[in-house]
Amino acid sequence: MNNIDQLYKDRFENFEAPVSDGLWDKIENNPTWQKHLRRQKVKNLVLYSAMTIVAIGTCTALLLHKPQTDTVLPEEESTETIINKTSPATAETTDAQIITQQNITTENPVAVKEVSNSNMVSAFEAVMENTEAHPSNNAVSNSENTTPPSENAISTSQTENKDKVNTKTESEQTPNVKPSQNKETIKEESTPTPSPTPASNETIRSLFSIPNAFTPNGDGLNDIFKPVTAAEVHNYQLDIYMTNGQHVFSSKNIDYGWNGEYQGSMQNGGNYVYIIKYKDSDGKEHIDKGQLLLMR
Amino acid sequence: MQQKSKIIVYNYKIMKQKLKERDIVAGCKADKPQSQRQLYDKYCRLVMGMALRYTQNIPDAEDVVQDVFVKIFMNINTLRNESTLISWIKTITTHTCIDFLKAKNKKIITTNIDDITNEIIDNNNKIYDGIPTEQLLKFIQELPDGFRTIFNLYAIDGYKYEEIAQMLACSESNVRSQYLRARKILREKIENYE
Repeated sequence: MNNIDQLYKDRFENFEAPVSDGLWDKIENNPTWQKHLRRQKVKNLVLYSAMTIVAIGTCTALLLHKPQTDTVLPEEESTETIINKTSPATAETTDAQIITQQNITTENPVAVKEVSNSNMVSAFEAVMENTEAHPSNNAVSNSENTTPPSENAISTSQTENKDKVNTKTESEQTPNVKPSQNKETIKEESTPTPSPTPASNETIRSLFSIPNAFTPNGDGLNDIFKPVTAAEVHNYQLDIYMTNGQHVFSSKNIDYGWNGEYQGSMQNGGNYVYIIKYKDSDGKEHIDKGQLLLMR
Repeated sequence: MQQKSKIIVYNYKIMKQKLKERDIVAGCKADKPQSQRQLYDKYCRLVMGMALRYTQNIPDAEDVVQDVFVKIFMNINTLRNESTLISWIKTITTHTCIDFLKAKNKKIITTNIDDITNEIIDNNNKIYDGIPTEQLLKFIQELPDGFRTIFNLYAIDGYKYEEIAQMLACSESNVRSQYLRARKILREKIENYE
């Protein structure tokens, strides 16, 4: 290393020179820098606008999604079509003044078996709808007085319901895999039994026909859990809880049932508890509680 | 004991400085005007000192400083390691200076001297300490563009002949002879001054 080199290296390697004050302003107003900043701004603007568009999109999608679930209620349609498909005879019987499951079994037992095999719930709904279809029988309570057989059917079916719930809690199996039991229930129904007074009280107490199980698998059959009634109710509220007490669903719309989802994700199969609060036409408050089975 | 505590205090200061530097760089990466100003305040004098060596007057040097900082702010996202910030800034400054001179003169090296036989042998190892830095700067600024650039790159900024030849698009031997010439001129000037 030469001494001149050394001298210069020592003096200038980290040599600092004063800068005039206006230089920073010059840098800030430098055309290339301004251009860069403008480009950055545009980039940010595009980014933010894209983000807002995405946010708005998701919001609208969520808003549109909710009414869809509200409007698409395949329950009623599907049950009707099932009945029509399986047995035109049963459809004809709707013209008769009183429809009972007894009658159906006598006229077309095979069809009813099919219906009950597919789901007990749909059979209940069929009964409820049939009563609804007749202006003479506005409510179940009316039909009780005039037609004891139908009342039998409802009451027995409801007691059946409860039995079933118990059996299900013991052994969590679908009714589809237990056709023998369903047949038994039909047999029991077909044999006319004298109406016991507590059963009739029960029907008065509960204006709803509540299915005890549903299958939210998207096949159009019983994808949504909702209680059905022909009577006029007010202040209706449906709440569904997990067995550990976690609240999963709430609805104040009688036509809006649970589709088996909680916070956007499908829930596992198993037992859930429902609580239905409502006021009947007399303004009397009712609370129905029970278990329901979500099947996969 | 006292020494130990001094060392600890010193290390703490260095650490704090490094942390601050990292913050500044992070702020610059996020395009924060405040951090950019901090970076400028910290390094503008160093960049100005370098620019003065390569250019011949203050306005030219300030133009270079302007370009350097615009480049720094625009490309700071490419800086991976904050600890190499100073050397990164120095590299940018060197290249900007060369670009500036190229834009001014089309070609920095006008004289083409290829004869190594003409090598100047100077074994004078006299130490010149009495000359003020400003005067030394003036000497270097008085050199022709080619000599000045090569002397700066080789003697002060520590580039090799090969790298300089690549940067200036000329032969290695040319760089070498130009550097020796530059040194000879400087020596004469210093000796005359004394």
